[in-house]
Order: sequence, then C-alpha cells, then structure tokens
Amino acid sequence: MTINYNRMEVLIVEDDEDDYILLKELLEEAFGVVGKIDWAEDFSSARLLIKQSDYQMYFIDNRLGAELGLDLILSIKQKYEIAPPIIMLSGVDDRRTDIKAMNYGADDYLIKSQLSPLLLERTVRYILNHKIFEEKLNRLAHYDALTGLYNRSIFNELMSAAIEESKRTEKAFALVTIDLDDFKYVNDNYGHPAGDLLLTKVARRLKHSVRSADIVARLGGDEFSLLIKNVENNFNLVKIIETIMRVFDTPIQVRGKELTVSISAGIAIYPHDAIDSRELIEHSDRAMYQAKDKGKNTYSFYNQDLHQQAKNRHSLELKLTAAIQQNSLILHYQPILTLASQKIICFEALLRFRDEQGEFYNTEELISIAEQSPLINDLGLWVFDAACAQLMKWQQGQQYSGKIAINVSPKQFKTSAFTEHVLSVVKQYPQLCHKLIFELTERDLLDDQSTTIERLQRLVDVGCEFSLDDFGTGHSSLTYLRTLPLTIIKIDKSIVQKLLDDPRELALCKAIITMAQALDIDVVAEGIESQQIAKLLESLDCPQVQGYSFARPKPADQLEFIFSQPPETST
Amino acid sequence: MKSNMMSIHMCDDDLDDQLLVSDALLEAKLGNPIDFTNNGLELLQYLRREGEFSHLQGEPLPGLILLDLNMPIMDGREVLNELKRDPVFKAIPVVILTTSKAEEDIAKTYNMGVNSFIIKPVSFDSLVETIKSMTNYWFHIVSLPDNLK
Repeated sequence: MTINYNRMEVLIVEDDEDDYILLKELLEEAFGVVGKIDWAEDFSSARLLIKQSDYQMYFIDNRLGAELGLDLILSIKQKYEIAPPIIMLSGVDDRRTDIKAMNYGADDYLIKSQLSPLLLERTVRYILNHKIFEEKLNRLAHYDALTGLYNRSIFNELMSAAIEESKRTEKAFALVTIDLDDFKYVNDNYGHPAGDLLLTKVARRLKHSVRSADIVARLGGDEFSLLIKNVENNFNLVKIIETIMRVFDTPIQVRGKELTVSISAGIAIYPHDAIDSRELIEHSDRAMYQAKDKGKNTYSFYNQDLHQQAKNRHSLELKLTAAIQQNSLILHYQPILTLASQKIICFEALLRFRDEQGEFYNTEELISIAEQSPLINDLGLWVFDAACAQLMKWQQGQQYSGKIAINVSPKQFKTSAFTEHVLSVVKQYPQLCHKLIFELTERDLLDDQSTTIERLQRLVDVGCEFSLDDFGTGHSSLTYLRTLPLTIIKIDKSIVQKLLDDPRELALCKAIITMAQALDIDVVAEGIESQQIAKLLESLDCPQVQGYSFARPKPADQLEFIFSQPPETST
Repeated sequence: MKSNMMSIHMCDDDLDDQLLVSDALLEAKLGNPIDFTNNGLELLQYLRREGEFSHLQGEPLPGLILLDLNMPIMDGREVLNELKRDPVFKAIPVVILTTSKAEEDIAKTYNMGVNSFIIKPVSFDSLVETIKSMTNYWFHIVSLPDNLK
C-alpha cells in the first residue's frame, strides 16, 4: 500500500514545547514531507483548532495542565462520521488511561519514551488500513453499492428522523415511492448488466432532480423512495413532482442504445396522510399502485381530492406562462367617472385570459397563482406594457387624454425590477407622466414596508399615483393611509352594494368619504350596479364612481364609441 | 493544497455519465474541479479557449482528460488524433472510457497513442473506486510537465 503523506495535515496537542519539537522531527523522519503540522499548546486552543480546522491526524498528549487530552477525543469524534486517526501520547505507561483512551475512541496509545520513526510509521499505516476498512463497512451499511444512494435500512432511520423533525418544526414532508415502468422488459431484452446500468443512471437523475436537503434512496430492485422536506403547500409539491417526472423525458443511453424510461410515483404526506412511518409507507405505496393503474408514467397522491386542486393550479400556471410568451392575454378597460359631471377621468385595465373553449378564467385565481412564483413579475410587466401601449395609442388618435389605472401586486415591489422598468418607460415616453395610476389591493400588502415605500415614492416622484383597491375588505389599516403615498382609495363593492339595505354599511361609507376628504385623498366607489345607489352616493358627495351601471369593462376596440358618445346611463 | 489542485476534463455526450463521474468525484472526496464538453469538436475549442470557451483564456489546462469514444460530430478517435499532433495538448494524459472489453480491444487496434483505458463500471461504488485509483495514479505518481501544473 502506498500512502501519500505530503498532503496530510497534522495537529499536535502538547503542552511541553520540547516534546512537541521532538515529535515533529520524528514525524518528518517517519513520513518525509508532511503537508502541515499545527501545534496547540493547551486544552482550549486545541479545542478551537479542532472545531475550526480539519486534520487528517491527531496526536494528543494526555496531560495538559489541569485538563486531560482524553476529553478532546469526543470533540473530534463528533465532527466526523469516521474520524481521522487519533493517537494519544503519555509520559508514563498507565494501563487505566490506555483503556480509557480506547473506550473514548482513540486509535492508539503510545508512550513518549518509546517513540521512534519506525514505530510511528507502522502505527499510522495500520490505523489507516483499518480506517479504509471501516469506511467500506460504513458504506455497505448505509448505501446501496449499485447506485450510491441510501439503502433501505438507513432510509427507514432517516424517515423516522424526518417524522421527529416534522413534529418539532410543524412542517410537513412527503414520502414519494417510485417504481420504474416495465423495468422487467429491459432486463429480459438487454440483460441484467444493462438493467443495472440503467438503474445507476436513473438514480443520478432522481438525485439531481430534488433539492440537496431531500433524501433519495433505492429500496431494492427498481424501487426508489424520496423524502421531500418542508412541503409548504400542495401546489409547490406538485411542481417538485412534475420536475421529477420530466427528468425522464430524455431517453437514457445504455450500451449505445437509447432506452425510454418512465416512472410511476405515489405520494403520501406526513402528518396529513399518516400517523406513523408504517402507515406513511403503506399509503405512499397504495398511491403508487394507483398511478400504475392509471396507465403508468404518472403520479398519484394518496389524498386525491386535495391534490386535484393543486394539479389544476399547476396546469393553469403553465398555460399562463405560455400565454405571456405568446402574447395571448388581453386587457379590458372599465371607465372611472366623476359622479357629478359623468366625465371619464380614468380607465382601469383589467386582465383577461381565455381557455381553449373561449371561456374567461377567473382573474383573481390567475393572479393568486402567479403570485406564488416569479411569474407575477412577468405578468405584471406584460400588463403594464400593454396598458401603456393602449393609452399612447388613444393619445395619438386624440381619442382620450385621461389616465389609466393598472393593477399591481405587492409582490412586484419585492424587488426593484418593476420599479426600474416603470421609471425607464416613463423617461422614454414623457406623455405617460401624470397619467399612470397603480392600484394596490390592501389584502396581504407590503411586509417590508420601508423598501416598498421607497420604491412607491420613486414612482410618485416621476408623476405616478397610487390607489388603494378593495378598501374595506381587508385590514383597512389607517397606517397604510398615513404611510403610503396614496392619492385615491377605492371603496369595495361589497360595501357599496349594501348601501341601500344596511345602515351600518352606509355609515361606514360616509365615514370613509369624510376621512378621505380630510386627508385630501380621492374616493372611487366601485361596483355600482343601480341608479339608486348612484344617487345615494351623489348625496354622500362621493367624487368618483365605477360600475356596470355606468360602463362594463370592454376590450379596447369596443370602446371607440364611448369616446364619441356620452356615457351609458341606463338602469 | 486545494488551490492548485489539478482539474479534470470529461468529454462525453451522455449527460448521465457526466453526472455519474462528477458525483463519484465528490464521493471519492477528491475535490478536483471537473468540467465537461459533449463532443470532440467542443473539446478542441475548449482546449484552445475558442468560441464559447474564450472566457477561459489564460486558465490552466486540465491535468487529465476522460474521453468517451462514441460521440456525434467528432468522435473520440478523431479528436485524439488532433490532440496527439498538438505540441502542448499531447502532454495531457488521456484516459479513454469504454463500455466493454470488446470496445477497448477495437480501440487499441487503432493505435491511438494512449494506453489508458477504463471500462465504464456499472455500479456507482466501483466507479468511485476507479476514479480514486485513476486520479491517484495520474496526480501523484506520474510526474507531469511543468506547464500543466
């Protein structure tokens, strides 16, 4: 066996400098060039070096003033699955200390007066040989030799640990049971070595398809199991599972042949689907067989109903992503008018997206899906660009010179990208200055207030306005009114529509209008669907209105007539 | 010692094999940096620091090349001919990866100027062992010309 010592880094713990120098010289004589030899002259500096650095060998004198070198062994052992060689040194041959050192986990116990280069070289060589053997045993006990993944026995331990962790952190995790589809066919037609090679490649793909904290194991045959940690919601889990399924889209090369591989996966979630690991495995297995029954190359959740919803959302997210890329989204525009003169002062741009059958999706649901991923940023930019383009078209045609209101999600202010984009567009097209209103909903608004407010303020500085949408449905926080640079609040339709029937809503509406006037903030009443309510609002001095009673949201090409006619005043 | 640790380059069109080798390197605790190209033509561009690899201008060349034989565009045999004609590149040790003993025998008949062949092992553990012995051999025992260090 040839061992290269020229990279080896050694720590010597020794309170006597002469003894340290002696040992250093012996080591150099025994091993030739050694990578590095560090010296710790007392217990506490040794502790620090052990903690901060990695050595490939430790020599520890047992007598360190008032402390014992023996007590350092544990700190080294804790750091490693298999610790590097630890050799205890002593001035006297004391059998009790010798036995103690062995029990603590030292690899040898040497008497200083007996040290020689030959003894050191031989001792170290034997220890290293044992370490290699120990490491092999450790691997065999924990890992599957074919794929290098965890094996069944350690996987069960890791799952028990995950259950304990989940109890403590109250975070769910998923057990995913995976079985290759038609693996038998590969073995039968190409032979077992080809089958084995396929399994090692499948294992790599699985391992690289999940986060590093997740656990991937091969339980035997063509059966794999995954633990997906910290599952926040089913929606994210579906995304992870979809990623795993997709890594098998490309065929796997086995001995020059391209084999198409697919998997069936079953998913059960702790603690929702099971009370212990036995039940979790059972339920995940059952889900996997459901996936096989469904025709393979698919996945199935133990709790179907719960996850159908998550799957639908995922497919909608994909469609929405494609729609942004293909520019197949559309905007409808609904006027906001002054109540007294019935003059259009603003158009609110509203996102619309049709499915294959031409039906509109629920916009709120689209937004809430987009908000759970970076998609909201692309969507926000698309809406902004499309609305600005429309406004400039109207301006050019001299059809309309008022403002445009664009809905934004608080998430778009989490980074500076949206703000920077708006700033550069306004700089490039000065005709947009003082024409842009951004509508923020007060639901889940702004956690990181100071940076957000700073971003809003930068937009205000170039002539943009902010309006607080759906006022009265969320916290209706007065803090927002005070701290955000708002110029408009929109009273939610749920209040407006009950004005005639509920005196409390009426009182609330009155109070909001009065408060807004005092703060010099404009008020828009939303969702006006009857003339009676319009009249009532007029009596309350509500300055601006929006609703079906005045005009419905329409695509831009159907709005042209509005510009040449007075607004609708029916019903 | 890690700062001047020699890097390994693997030229193989099979992305799964690339994953296997880089995982095996990690598992072997060797820590040598590894990078990849997918065919012989890319390998030449990579070594010459041309095209998409021009940002590597001035970086040291790899200390070892793992070369697959069957690749599209330019296969292992063709690129090896090019390498062995180049005064600088010919000094870089090349290990040919084959999938079977038969393939190795065929490859040997071409007299490509290398005598290191490794049959891609089936199991991950034996790959780790192979990588350990291979890198140990090339990086510790064989002394390399100074311009590659």
